[in-house]
Amino acid sequence: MSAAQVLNGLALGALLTLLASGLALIYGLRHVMNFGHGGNYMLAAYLGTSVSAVAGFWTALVVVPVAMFGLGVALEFAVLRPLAGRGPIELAIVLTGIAWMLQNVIVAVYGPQARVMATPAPLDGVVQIGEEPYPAYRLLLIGFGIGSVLLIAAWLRFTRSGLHVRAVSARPDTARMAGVDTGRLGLLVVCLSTAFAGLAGVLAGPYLAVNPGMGDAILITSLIVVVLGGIGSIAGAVVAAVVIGFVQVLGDLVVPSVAALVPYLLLVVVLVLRPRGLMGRVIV
Amino acid sequence: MTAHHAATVATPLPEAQPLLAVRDVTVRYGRFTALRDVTLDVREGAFHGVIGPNGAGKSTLMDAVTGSRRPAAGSVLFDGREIARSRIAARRRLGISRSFQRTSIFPELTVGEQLGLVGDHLGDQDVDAVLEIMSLAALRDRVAGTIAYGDQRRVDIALALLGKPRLLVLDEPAAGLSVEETDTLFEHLRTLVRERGVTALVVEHDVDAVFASCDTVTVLDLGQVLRSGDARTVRSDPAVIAAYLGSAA
Amino acid sequence: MAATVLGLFLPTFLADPYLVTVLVRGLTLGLAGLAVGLLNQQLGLVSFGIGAFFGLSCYAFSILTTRFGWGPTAAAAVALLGVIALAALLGAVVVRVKALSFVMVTLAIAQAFFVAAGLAGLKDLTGGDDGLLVEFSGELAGLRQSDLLDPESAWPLVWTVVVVVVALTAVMVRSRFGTRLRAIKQNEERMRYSGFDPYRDKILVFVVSAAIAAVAGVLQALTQGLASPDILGFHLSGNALVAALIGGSATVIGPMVGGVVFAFGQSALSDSGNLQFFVGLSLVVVVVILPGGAVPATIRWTRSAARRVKDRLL
Repeated sequence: MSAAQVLNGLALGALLTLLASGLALIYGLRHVMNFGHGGNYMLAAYLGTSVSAVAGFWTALVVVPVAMFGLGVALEFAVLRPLAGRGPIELAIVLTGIAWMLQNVIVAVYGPQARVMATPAPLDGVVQIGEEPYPAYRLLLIGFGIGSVLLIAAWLRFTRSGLHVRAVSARPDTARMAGVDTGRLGLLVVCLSTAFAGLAGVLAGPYLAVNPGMGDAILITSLIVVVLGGIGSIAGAVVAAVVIGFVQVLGDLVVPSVAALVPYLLLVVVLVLRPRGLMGRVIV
Repeated sequence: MTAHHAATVATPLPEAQPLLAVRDVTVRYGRFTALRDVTLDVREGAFHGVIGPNGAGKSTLMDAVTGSRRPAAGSVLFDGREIARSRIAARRRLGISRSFQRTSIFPELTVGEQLGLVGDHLGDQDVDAVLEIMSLAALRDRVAGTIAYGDQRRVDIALALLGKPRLLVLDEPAAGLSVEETDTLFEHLRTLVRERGVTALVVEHDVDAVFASCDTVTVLDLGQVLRSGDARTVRSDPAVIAAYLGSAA
Repeated sequence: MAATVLGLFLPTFLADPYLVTVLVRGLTLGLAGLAVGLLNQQLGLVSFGIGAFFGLSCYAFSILTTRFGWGPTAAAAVALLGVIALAALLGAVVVRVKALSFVMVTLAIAQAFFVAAGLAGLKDLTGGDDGLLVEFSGELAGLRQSDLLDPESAWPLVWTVVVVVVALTAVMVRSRFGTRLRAIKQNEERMRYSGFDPYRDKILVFVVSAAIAAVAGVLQALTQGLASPDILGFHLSGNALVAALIGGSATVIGPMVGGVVFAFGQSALSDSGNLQFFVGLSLVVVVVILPGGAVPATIRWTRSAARRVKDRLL
């Protein structure tokens, strides 16, 4: 496995980390699996193409995640709070329905063709990794992946709200009795999760195709990551995202004809051998 | 509180093979040890009570006996047969049944339907007898989720009685019941043990009820057996009084 | 009973081939919806991936006939048996996971088949992204392929298959096996403590559900003459879920009605290009406002309205 291939694995893993950690955060805190996450990611990518066409990629990288943070507020107050008494599966169906409506609106606005987002300067070139040239932009992606993991870890570990998130995820009733404001915390986590989807969407623009099917494909991969990692475990999600990234790249090398199937096979293998996922404490 | 009941107990120690023999059982949850080297005999035909403060390991002991928790070490012998690794359904078919602290019934089936379903499966045609014993005949056609809580508790025990189990494990049967309801229930249970030949292992918070009805009592504390023996001896044991009963005894 | 016999002659009453076309499509989707509804009603599980079994049997039938020259009867039998065997293997894994994971895992399984159908290495078999046009000689229940592609002449076969599958499912739901399944859904722990083996029963329901979807998949290949990747993935699975939700999964008829409603909605809306929007909207509306299903709610509403009218008149 060459250095470039390692980096490719990390780049895909970084993107999946951004998405899967958002899913795991909401699930850990509120037992809601956001099946609309792929739709959010897709919305961010399309918004990213618009904003970067007008104001450049770097502006889009700031503006879109902020806007998506705002969308999290809407999601919280228009959907999650009113439906708080419903079961997780009903919510999954509703969020899927909303994502489909959103996808349709996006296609109606932007058309069904794939859109291109130019790789921004100064990352549009290559860097030498040992002997090989490597696309510089992917290093940015990896940087964001690692940065986001460190940021989440630091937040959970060193801040008051992070402590509360850990407390509620582990022992919801006890934490609530101890006076943790779960309402505000829930809002924060939902907004962070949509903002991360925003970041992932914009970052994906120059790396993957921006097209109407992008949301479904990555949602399913992210869900596999979450199940593999142990549903609700953020550390598990990060590990599983990197594993899936590498497995994809390795699969392309070893068994190119069926590489696309490898994540699914991995899911089945893990479910047979270890139904709770890599790091899950509760059985999924 | 009446203590004379314990006087009717025949032998303090079983000379024959016990129906249930728990041997040096240790159960861990992660790093926490819930039961440590617990040894316990329940002889056939006994009404055996297990008491102990919260966290003593009472529920874990029931789980290890009935099958929802496998011990890390030790063995559980039922009628001389090792069952520590058997599955729940297999133990039920061997004759170990249980009731639940928070009643565990089928809320959308009628009382008759659920007893019929389980009775058929276990080859017990005598559902009427169980309905009779638990005073449920009048409620046969009611949907179980809609009847009073005390009645649901009796449905729960009735489910455990089907198929003529040899060992009936009861998890805090008096929880949530009034004093009168508790007395009636324990009266029912005593009748079962005497007249149906059932052996009962009862975990109970209500110490008075246990000493009034059980002939053998085991006291658990911090995951270990503090004392085990006939009810009267255990009750007057200084260690038990000091550690658990305090001035209440 | 009379209605099921009369149903055989429905095309004559309708006198419009297009309506029959839509009905055939609706009933095919309805069977996939029944497969989803059965899992939901009997086990409380929601499948986002019924397309895996629907699509697999459709592909298996199409490949066996078109690529290997099998007759339709043998191909249909092998397609069904193959799906049943695969569902038993998969079921042994997936019925162990909790309800929410089940949603995700079934979705992933369907996506895996979707990806597999599009693999370059399998293009000679599956036709890749273009799908596979079905061609066979020989007859199935006395019908040749040209008859089966004409909805009016295919109708008696479609109707008979639907009636038989729905009736068998209804019998199963009402049997002792059905009671046992409802008991498992209500309290699996108590079932285990009553000496039952819920795991085996759950696998069995999973297999029955897959078999129903597989029957629908063969009907799809017979009456539409095409196997395309979108019947494997999220697309068909989502539509089947919508059919089950609209019709409600409390009855075996519900999803069938839901499938027909969906098919008519689809034919009315597909030209607008906004079908997906309305599918999404109906998911939201049904779950939020009419949790028992739109069709049962409408029936309840019509009945109470009729009663009010009657009260006023009498």
